[in-house]
Amino acid sequence: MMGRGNDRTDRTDRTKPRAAAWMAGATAILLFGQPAFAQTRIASDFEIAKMERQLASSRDFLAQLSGRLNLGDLRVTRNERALARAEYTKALDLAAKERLAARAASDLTRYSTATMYAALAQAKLGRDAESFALLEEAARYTAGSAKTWNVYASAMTVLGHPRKAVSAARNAVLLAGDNPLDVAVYQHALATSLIDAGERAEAERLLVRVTASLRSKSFDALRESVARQESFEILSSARGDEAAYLALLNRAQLRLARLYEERGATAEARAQYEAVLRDRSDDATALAALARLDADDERYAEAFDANPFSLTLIRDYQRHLGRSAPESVDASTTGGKMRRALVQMQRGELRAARTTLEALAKEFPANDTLRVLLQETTAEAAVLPSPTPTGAELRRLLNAFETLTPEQRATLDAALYTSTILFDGEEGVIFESGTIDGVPFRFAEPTQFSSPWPTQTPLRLTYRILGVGRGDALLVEPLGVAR
Amino acid sequence: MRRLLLLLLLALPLSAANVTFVAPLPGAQAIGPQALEVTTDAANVDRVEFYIDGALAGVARKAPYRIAADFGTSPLPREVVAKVWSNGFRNSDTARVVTAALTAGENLNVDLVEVPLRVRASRPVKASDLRLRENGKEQAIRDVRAERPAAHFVFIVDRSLSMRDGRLTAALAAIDAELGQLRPGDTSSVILFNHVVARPRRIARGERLGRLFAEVSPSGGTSLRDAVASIASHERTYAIVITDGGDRNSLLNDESALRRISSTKTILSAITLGDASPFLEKAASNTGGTIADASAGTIRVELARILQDINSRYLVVYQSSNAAAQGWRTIAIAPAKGVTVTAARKGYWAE
Repeated sequence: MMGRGNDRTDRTDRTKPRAAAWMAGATAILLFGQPAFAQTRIASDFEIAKMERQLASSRDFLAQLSGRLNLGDLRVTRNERALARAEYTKALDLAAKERLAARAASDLTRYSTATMYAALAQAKLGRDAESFALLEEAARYTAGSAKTWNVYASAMTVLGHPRKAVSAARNAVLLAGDNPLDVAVYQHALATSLIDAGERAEAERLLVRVTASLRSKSFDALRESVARQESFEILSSARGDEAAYLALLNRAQLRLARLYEERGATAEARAQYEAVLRDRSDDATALAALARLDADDERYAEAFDANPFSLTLIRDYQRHLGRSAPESVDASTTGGKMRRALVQMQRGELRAARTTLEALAKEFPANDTLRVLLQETTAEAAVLPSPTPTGAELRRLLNAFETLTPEQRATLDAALYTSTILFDGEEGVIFESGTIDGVPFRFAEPTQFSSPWPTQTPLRLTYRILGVGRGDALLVEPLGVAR
Repeated sequence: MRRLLLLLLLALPLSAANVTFVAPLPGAQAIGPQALEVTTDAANVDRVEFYIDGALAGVARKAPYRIAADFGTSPLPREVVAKVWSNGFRNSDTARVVTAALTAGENLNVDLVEVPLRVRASRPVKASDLRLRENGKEQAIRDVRAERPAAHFVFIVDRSLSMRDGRLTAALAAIDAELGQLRPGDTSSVILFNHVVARPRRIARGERLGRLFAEVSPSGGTSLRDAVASIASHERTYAIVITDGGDRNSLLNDESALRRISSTKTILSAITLGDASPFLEKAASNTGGTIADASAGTIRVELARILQDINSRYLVVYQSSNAAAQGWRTIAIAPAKGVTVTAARKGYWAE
């Protein structure tokens, strides 16, 4: 049997068996959350770095397996699904080899553990039948283990079977024993599967109990240990009590907050999100939630810095931009660049948005969020503007300049346009740039006019359109200016 | 059969026209206003478009295909593309040149090197009291100032989990209490960091950090090197770090972080609340700053001492004559009789 009691009896090194014991429980912490709450929990670079170190420094099965599962889950939160699948496939390979080795050694507990994780990896790869068969196989050997049912519930949630997940999670709670961390893990897992199944009232009661328990004096020693190690990384497959405690508290608070938020208890929701941030100042889910609740640009900036690739956050921000768009965006971070692209999209500056997104895509080539947004910025075919074009006509031309046909190019090259413009800079005779109905334009070089013109007064400019110049401005050839 | 062959031949694509740059030539330097010109053997040219770094810079419609463009002052290489449209915009042919980057040897080094000194002397120190060698080469000292010029102060404060039990609160309170030592013309900002390095936050006159960051609780890991490197500046900057010294999460290693802050005008000092930090010791030693050990109860005293020290230093200014030598440049100062130099910058990184 692989129950906690046996783990304790056999251990010589206290850390390793506990780590093994927590693999199953903590794995469930993340899995349940993703689809149900559209979680935007980011696999930050810190967690990825930690897992890469773990993979490089430790050769044992559980270290390697948890490393691969965590990396896969982290890639999912960054919307890098191909990379995630590659990690889950490696986890499956590891589990398959471990099953063979355990069978050869006639070690049934080890065989069952490896089989459970093979099932979990299959579930993460979306293979329903294979996962189900492996779970049944594992349960045949360790049906009395809470961990087995916990992994079972996780896999069912991943595969979209919330009722089966609830049943399995209830089994885990019944078998949990009396260790408070064990109890909290399995109650949290049950609460998460209940949310999936639409039974929110019971889920809320359980989460209140779990968070209260985790904050109680029973966990003082564990909290002190977390502080000594400056641990902060939140991992779905947590190894060790400290990592499990951190992940569990984080996820339980986030889920409870979301439940509060969904039933309109905003103050309670906010208190939970703020509690999460007190432990992890860059928690992307909490930052995104507070940005949503406060409709605040600074909060959005922090949330995008924590996870620039969350589609949930992006859609929230796009709704926010519909109500209030910032004048400018500090694009010194990846999150800032993403916000700039979204603001550009909001303004209809699709060419500029594409440029911003393409630069990001070079940095994050496997990112699916960028692919989605790039598709959304693909311009319609170009249409030549009318002789006195509006800003919208010019913007559409700018966005789709490359799609002009030879005939359109020839027509455009010969066409004269007249627009009401504002020059940039000071009143004078030399000008280089300005705006037409909000669309920036520039001349190929500073151009001297025969008489001085003001910069705050609308003027009539006759011009030819040459193309798209620096800063995605319309490059024009001036032919005459008048009041 | 012969007619069919002829038709097929006509249907084949015409060979590409030649487009050749007259200016700029590949590898030439491009700074300021300059002509862009190409020749082409393409027939029925509609127009020639010139692009600089992907943006349309201008259009020429007839030979000679030439426009004027302003390359600005960037030392970076620039990509110039000429696109020749012909045959009613049905054909296009391009040519591309990349201009040369300005190298260090071609840069004019107008940066003055500043060396704050702590000096013991029975008389006011003059330029003639000091001999300064950079990379072993004697330098002409332009000025020795007894008054510290206006500067920017950056307080880099650790807010990681290990700064709990009142350490973070004490650090912020110490800064609040000692900001008064800054002089008119000085500016200040604060950077809080744990595993994440926050953006610098300007401190307005009269603003209290204790109040501003009342909601900030110590949490997370420590990215000390990344936080220190984030202040990289060519302005006169005094950086004061308050930390418990550990570093678990930086992306930068010691060398990269040290290099970023070893400019000619940055001086780093630190107050450490826990174990000694070899990185901070090296950073302070290189830049001419100081290190102080403290507990939560003595942060203020140590900060006051560091600020007094900064305010009482001489400033030696010279123009480096090693303009072409990139990399670390050592500074060695030999005082005349009766003058003792007790602390000074050990060098700086020239790029």
